Amino acid sequence: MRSRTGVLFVVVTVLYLAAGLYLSLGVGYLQGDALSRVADTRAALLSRDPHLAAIGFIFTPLTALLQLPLVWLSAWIPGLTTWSLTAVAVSAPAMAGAVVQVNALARERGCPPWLTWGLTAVFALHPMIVYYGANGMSEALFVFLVVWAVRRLFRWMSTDDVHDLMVAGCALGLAYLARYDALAASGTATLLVGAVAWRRSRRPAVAILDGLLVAAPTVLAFVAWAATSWLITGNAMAQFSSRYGNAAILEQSGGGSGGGMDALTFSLAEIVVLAPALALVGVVSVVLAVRRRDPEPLVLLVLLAVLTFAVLTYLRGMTFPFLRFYISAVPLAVLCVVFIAPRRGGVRARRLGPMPAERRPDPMVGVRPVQVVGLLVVVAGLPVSAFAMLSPALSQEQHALHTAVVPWLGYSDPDLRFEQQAIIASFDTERRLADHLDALGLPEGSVLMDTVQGFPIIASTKRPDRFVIPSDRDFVTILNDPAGHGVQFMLTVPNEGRGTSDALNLRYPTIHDNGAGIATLVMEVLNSGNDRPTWRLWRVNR
Amino acid sequence: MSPADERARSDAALYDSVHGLREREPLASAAVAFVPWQKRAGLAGLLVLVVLLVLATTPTLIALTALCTFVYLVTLADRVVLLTRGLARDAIMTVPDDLAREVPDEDLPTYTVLVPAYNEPEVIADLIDAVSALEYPADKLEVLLLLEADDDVTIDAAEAAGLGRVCRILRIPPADPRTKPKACNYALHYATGTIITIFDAEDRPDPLQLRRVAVAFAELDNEVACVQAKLAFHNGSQNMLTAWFTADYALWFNFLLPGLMKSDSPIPLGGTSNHIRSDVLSEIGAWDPYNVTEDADLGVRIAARGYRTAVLDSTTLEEANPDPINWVRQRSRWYKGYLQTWLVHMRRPARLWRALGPVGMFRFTTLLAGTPVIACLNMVFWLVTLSWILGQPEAVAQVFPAYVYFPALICLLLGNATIFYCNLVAVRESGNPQLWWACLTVPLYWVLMSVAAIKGTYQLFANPSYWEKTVHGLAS
Repeated sequence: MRSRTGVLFVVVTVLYLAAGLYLSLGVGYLQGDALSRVADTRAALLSRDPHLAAIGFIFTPLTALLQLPLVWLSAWIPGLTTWSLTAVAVSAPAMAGAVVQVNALARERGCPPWLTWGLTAVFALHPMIVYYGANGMSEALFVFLVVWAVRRLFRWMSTDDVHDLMVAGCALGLAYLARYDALAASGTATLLVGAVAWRRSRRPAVAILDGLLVAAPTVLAFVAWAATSWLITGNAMAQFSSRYGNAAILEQSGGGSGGGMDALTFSLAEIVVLAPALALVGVVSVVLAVRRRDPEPLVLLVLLAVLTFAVLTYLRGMTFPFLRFYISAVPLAVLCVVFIAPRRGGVRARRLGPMPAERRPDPMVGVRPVQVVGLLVVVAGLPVSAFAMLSPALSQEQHALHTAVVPWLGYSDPDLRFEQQAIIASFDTERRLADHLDALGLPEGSVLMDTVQGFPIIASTKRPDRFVIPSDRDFVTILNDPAGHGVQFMLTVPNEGRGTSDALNLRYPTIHDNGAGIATLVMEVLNSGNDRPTWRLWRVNR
Repeated sequence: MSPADERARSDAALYDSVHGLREREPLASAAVAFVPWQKRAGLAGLLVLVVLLVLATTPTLIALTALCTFVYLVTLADRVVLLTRGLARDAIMTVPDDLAREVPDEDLPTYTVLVPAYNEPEVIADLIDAVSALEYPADKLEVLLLLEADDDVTIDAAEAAGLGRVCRILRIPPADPRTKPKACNYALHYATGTIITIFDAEDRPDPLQLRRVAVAFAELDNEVACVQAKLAFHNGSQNMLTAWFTADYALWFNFLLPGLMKSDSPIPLGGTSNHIRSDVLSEIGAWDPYNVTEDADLGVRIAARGYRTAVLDSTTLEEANPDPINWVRQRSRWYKGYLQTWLVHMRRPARLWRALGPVGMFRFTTLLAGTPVIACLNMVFWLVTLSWILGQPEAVAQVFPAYVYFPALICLLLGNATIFYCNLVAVRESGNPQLWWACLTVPLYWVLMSVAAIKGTYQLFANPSYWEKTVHGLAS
């Protein structure tokens, strides 16, 4: 069984890697957030002031940290970062890990092989799962870690094995370092474990201790991240409150929701298109769980909590209308079908806990047709999700896949096609700008820019050390007197939208318009990408 | 035997118990803390350090900080490995009750239980309870209550109580050092059992422990010279200190010792409930009366001679020290003893390396030298951290350049958190969930540990063989 799991992992990893290579190298379609992380990681290793803190405190660090070794190689092979390949190298095995966990959970629950492998395939081939395994975003790690925790909690329900609690706790702690939404998962898991432990033992101490074992790693991750952030930037919650943080981006780009019924409808629509079968299989598994008096499906509350968190934050206008925030609906629907299966066999523990629960086999009568229907409805959901991902209204970030992958499907609207081509061309301009600057053979620290829009340049250039960027500890000094510190060129973006947070615009508000008296315009570069700024390259006056 | 012969035998036994190991194998005895080359090497090292500190203060301090951080991280990683191995269900040797009772009396080996006591009249009653609870045939069991001949109060109490058939008093002629190992060595000359074990007078061993050990020895191969049973406390809930101490012991005996056993590493034996084959004991030279943790020393000697120690799932309940001053005295003795033991066995490092192998050598060093040294260093780093939080002095910043700072930060956060977590796991798995709050407040316990370590280390230089007596009978 172990070797079969290994094969599954390798095969699925290769599948996602291939998809990732096709999208980045074949089509040139990259996700901005993934590329931005790549650039931060590169700045931490290869900029003129390499230090770990340059990895930044806006994004959670896990995805970036895991890329460090490969990003280091980009000193010799810049293509690794230009095309975001280091990020794909993390997301592909991570998402494959999630597939392996779904497979293992189905097996341990006692699903018959056809169902185990059917559900594994549905999950692995779900277009959203494939895309996020292939595009280098942090969703892959997040899904993997949360599903891993769910599986370990499921095991703990019957084994009471401390190993299961420890792994679940650590997975959730790591998940917090992949995406903040993990706080919802972690909190729910803690309450669930506490409640189950209390019900079993009737001793508050047991409930508290087991809850602590699950919660502690997340608490550590939270405190460690906030403390590190505070020590280095003086701001414990940079991701929320800094001028590059979430709230600021929302304000600058005006992408948040208006709240109310519209927001709620949008969230529900996103969930429905990602997992059309969810409501049906969810209700069936709840009914069966109640009839069987089976506590195991309760572990799905962890995934449900993540989903609820996404809905609530959007409702409160705190996030963007992005389909990916609801990605946990996919494993949730698949696992609902897993829990339709009756309990069979025992779960092997490394060390049985003090209060293991006997797994009584559930009655099998009439369950097989329900399982078949369950599998069929989740399979039937796949094309729905695929089409929804091509819809600009539902899938702001993914709809360009239409032009990138399935252009033969036809277009109703030529403007849309044009927009999708521009999305795919995003960062093209910055890549060429990087090539141009590389070709000038400049010395170290001779180009000043902010990475808020300039990150693709850092990801693409052969020589990141030629740039002076905000993560450099002497950035402010140099910004105040570029000429005096050997800066020859400056790159600026319009002082509007996200460009208002650009450090050059903040220091010299008119610089993009007239050089603020310290620089002379060399050239203006119109951007071929969608929602990307016009660049101006300035020569610093001596 | 005539009184004169008796006297001669006692004198010989006494002489052997004090001087035997030192005369037969001077390098194995802690009678001298440092042999000349160790003294010279230590002084030379100190001199080099001072010179470096004067000539290149900051680089030297950076190097020291980097080295300490590295040691912390390596030790931490190893502890996690040991805990992980120790957590496996099969890490500890288990002999179920029915199997232990099944062995016919005539197949059981003869057993000697040594119970050293000094000036403890109040524990005699406990001792009688514990001995009479042991399920072992009386004709194969010998319990020797080792009392100093001039310890009238305890002798009177014991005689008044009437010790019964299996238990008798062995009077140890008064002579320095008045230590537990000397008493045990003396008693070895009178002991008749093929397996020898030590209990403290106030211990409450699992009644089936001796039978379980007998089965374990029969099942295990000939290389196993010693079986260590688990120690735990009966007064864990008495106060904060006993709660911490209980959590500490839960981790050590339930998981780290089994982890060491699984890793074939030397096991520093615990103070009591170690069951040793008497033939091996005489072969490798019994206890060192000059070592203040003679059990840890014996554990290492067992490993160094190619024998092994097994850890058995059978618990002896002891009394946790509820008084901070008393606790610090006891712990400082342990730390001093660990250092003594490390120094003794490092007198011939090449030979030890050959016997233990690189991993065994590493564990021997991290456990016996690392434990006290790290506990001392903790105080230094806490003070550095505190000064940083209070005033961010430039001097501290200089000693922590980025390549030291980040590993140190990881160490600070991950290291402390890991130990917290290990404690939580240990109290859960040892059936003490009510001690969860002790796990959360354990840093205060670490402060006590550090104080004890500093005291013990200081004493290693000032008064190496002084035995800090622990007062028993404080449990309510």
